[in-house]
Amino acid sequence: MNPELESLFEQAAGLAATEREQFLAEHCSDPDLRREVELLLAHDRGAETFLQRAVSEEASSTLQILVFAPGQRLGPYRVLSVIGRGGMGLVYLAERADGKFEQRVAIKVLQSDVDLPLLSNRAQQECRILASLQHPNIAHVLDAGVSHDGLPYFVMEYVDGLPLDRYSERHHLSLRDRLRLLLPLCDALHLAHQKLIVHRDLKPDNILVTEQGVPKLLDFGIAKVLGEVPVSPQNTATRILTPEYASPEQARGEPVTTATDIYSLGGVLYRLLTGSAPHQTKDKSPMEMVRAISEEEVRRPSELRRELAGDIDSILLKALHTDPQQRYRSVDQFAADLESWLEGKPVLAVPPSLGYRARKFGRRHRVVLATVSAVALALVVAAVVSIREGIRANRETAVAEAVNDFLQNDLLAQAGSSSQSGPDTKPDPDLKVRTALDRAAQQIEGKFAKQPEVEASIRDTIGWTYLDLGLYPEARKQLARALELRRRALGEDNPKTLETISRLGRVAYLQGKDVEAEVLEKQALEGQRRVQGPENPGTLNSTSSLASVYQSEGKYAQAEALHAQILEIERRVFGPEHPSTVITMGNLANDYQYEAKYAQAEVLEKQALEIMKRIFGPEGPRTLHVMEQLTWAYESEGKYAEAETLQIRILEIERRVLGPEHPDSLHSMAALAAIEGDQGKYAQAEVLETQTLQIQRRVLGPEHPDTLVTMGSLAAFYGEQGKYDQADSLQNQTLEIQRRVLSPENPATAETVYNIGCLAARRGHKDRAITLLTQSVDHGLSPYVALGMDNDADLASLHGDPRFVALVAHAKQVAEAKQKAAATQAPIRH
Amino acid sequence: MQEVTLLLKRLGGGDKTALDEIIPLVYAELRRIAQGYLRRESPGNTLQPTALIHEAYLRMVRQSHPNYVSRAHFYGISARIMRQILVDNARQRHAKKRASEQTVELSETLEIAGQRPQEVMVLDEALNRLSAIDERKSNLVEMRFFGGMTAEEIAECACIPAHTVRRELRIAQAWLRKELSA
Repeated sequence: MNPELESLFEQAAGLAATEREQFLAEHCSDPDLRREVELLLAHDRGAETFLQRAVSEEASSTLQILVFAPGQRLGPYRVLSVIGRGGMGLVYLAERADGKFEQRVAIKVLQSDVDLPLLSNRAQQECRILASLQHPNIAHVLDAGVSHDGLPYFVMEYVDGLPLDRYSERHHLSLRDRLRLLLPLCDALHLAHQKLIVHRDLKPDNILVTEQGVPKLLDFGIAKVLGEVPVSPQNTATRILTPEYASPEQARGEPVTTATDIYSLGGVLYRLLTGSAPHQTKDKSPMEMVRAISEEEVRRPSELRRELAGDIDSILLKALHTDPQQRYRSVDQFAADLESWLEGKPVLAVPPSLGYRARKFGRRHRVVLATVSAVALALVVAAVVSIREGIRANRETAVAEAVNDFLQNDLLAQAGSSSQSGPDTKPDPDLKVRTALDRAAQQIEGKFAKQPEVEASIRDTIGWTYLDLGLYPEARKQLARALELRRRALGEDNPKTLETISRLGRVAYLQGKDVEAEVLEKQALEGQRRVQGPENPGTLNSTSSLASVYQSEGKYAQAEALHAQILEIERRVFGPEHPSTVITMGNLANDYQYEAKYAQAEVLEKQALEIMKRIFGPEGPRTLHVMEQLTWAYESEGKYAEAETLQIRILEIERRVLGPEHPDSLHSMAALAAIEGDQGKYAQAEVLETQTLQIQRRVLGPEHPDTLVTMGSLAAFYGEQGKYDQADSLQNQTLEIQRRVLSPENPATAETVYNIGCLAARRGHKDRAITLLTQSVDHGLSPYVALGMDNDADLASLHGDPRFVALVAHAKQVAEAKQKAAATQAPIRH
Repeated sequence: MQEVTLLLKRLGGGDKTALDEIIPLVYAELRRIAQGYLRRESPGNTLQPTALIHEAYLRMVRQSHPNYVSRAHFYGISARIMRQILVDNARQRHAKKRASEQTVELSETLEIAGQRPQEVMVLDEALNRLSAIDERKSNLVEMRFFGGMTAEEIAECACIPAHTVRRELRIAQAWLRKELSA
């Protein structure tokens, strides 16, 4: 290049654009040279980027062309083009190069980070098994081999089609047509499973639908063959081939069975019906992914698309159960349920009665309380004596506190009915604890005039003990005194004062005074969150109590949100097997049950129960509570015999351990009556329920929520036996009390109205029935009841009535709005 | 792999025909690496083809000639091979595009990037013209763009100061762009 040109260019390029012209005018007299310099300067800007882009674009193209390598030979096949790219490698369209057959095939070339040895013998054997798998809805595996550069490949029947999800979208398939598309796939899968071949990687991309609408499964068992290839331990994440559809056992790297395919097929259907995969894996690390897949419940399909509520929800959740044992036993069973749904028949995932009837013989499912104390006679006496001695000997508060600590933690706590029944200790059957407590309560009076803090602590403990024994008025009296003393001595914001407020709230709750309970718990919680933070055990206790109150008030969404929040904190702070954590699991399951999320409830209950039997003992009150919840789940599933056996066992233990008049025993009596009712043993149920009602009226009072539930159930048993007048009168009595004592819009009240409506329907009073049912739907009827309305046998006389059809639709809408609200409310902030 | 050693020696000695023989060897390596890259490729993680081809070359050389030390020689050859590969491909693609109406149908997910094969071909011709006027500048451009080297790396290889490399590259780039837009 001309050195003068270079020099002029260099100098001019170093100047600002405005100065260049003058510079050149001064330094370059040759007009040709000047034009050349000006031309170069004009092309100076952006030249580098321009060249870089040109080269790198070409490089990208080259690279891709290199990879397709059309014309490249793989064994007897010649590659024509690339037809896809998956997680395992590229898929090529190819044809026989030797002209032996005129057949187009798809060749999947697998790639791995490690240099692959030749396909192992076992893998080759596997390929032979796959080749034997022939079904019109399975893309046939024709051959397998290793390319010259060491990459294993599979030759499959070429399917010209679209992936299942895109096919459904492009052809705007209806929900029913989407379901129908799955049936032949189930059939294919069933054949494979009979030959003990598991697909392992079912996903929409592995299912192509041809122009004729025939779905075909691709890549059968290839994941397994790939599994024969050594994978380095760091690469465990690669085990999850397609995380969105991987089953929990796959995610954890556990052995894979046919249940895995059922899960993944459920996932495919889920995607097809809701538009999203069952698990969101975007932006998640492999560890987070494994955790999410193996622990998190799949979102109810109806939360994503309302019209899926009901049976489809149940079918999908059964197929996508985290526990393989709880899924469909075979893909045939899965297909049968899809067919039943298509034909409008009852499905297996939802047992016939779904406990609709069971609900009417209802019971109140109590939240398990994390109460801590109760005392045996000797211990109370000893404790009170020792406190007195202790206070006398040492005037200092610190020492008094120590004495009290001893009382609370070492003596009283050991004797509590809850903590009595650890795995190694036998519950004390002596129920005269009450006498001891009464005496102790009297002894306190005036003894600690100068030690208000100590007196408050003792009263608080004794009150708490009364509460545990189900003696609510006594508990209230002691706790109210304790609160008064603590307020004065410690102030309003002291953690102890706040704790006593919360305990009083709990007594109110147990006495059925929900409104008062809500006020007290909120008050305690507000102070505790401020003073102690949201993760303090005291704060968690109050949160839990407030959640119980919400549940009782029928505010299930709020209850679920709080329980979920507590569970998250407890799992993190206390650990997954801590008593509080496990109790919360049971409580959350209870919320789920009320919200008709049975699948979620049952999983959680079984998990909780398994841990509880170990940590609380098989006869511990908390274990019993969750056992009882499980009977409810059985009932919901129509497994009445199992429910009855379990419930009888619970009642037997409670009568022995707690006494026949303990609220829990009464509760179990009512539950047993309900299960008898489920099985049509109405007369027997009536006897048991009448007995229960008598005791409840005496022990709990005639207006206690439990008493009211029993009245409703008894009315139902009357109704079943045709004693309509008795039933009607009892229901109206119940309603009158509920309207007076319960919060407005309480689901229990709404349910009574509903039940009176049912009686009217049975008697053929259609107009009255419709009016009452509508009223109940609009005033707090729980989704659990509302969603079962069209299946309620009591309302059979209304079937075909357009008003009823409209009402059912309306009820569904209201219920789903509630469930949706619950779903959005779940991730609550502190 | 005696073959590669011999080819490299011939290339070093200025035997241009050795290039034609060495390129297929690089291709084989390249294909393997490219497949791996494509598999790992994820959105937002752009492929770096230049680096890739270097890796292929490097692997090939290392496998056959572990004690190969002349960096200048290595980089120079690497850039030359890259240029050759890209131009060859562009030519093939261009020819195919013109020749066949029945282009191979590609799935929607795999569209070929860079629909302008001529650009590199034109650049190649322009570089040849530049080489005729000023061989050194042509080599610098080759190393910079086909070799993906920085000015400092080029300076080290070519044993000239970095600022000279930058100065010469600047005018060469402007010149090439002018030629290409003509």
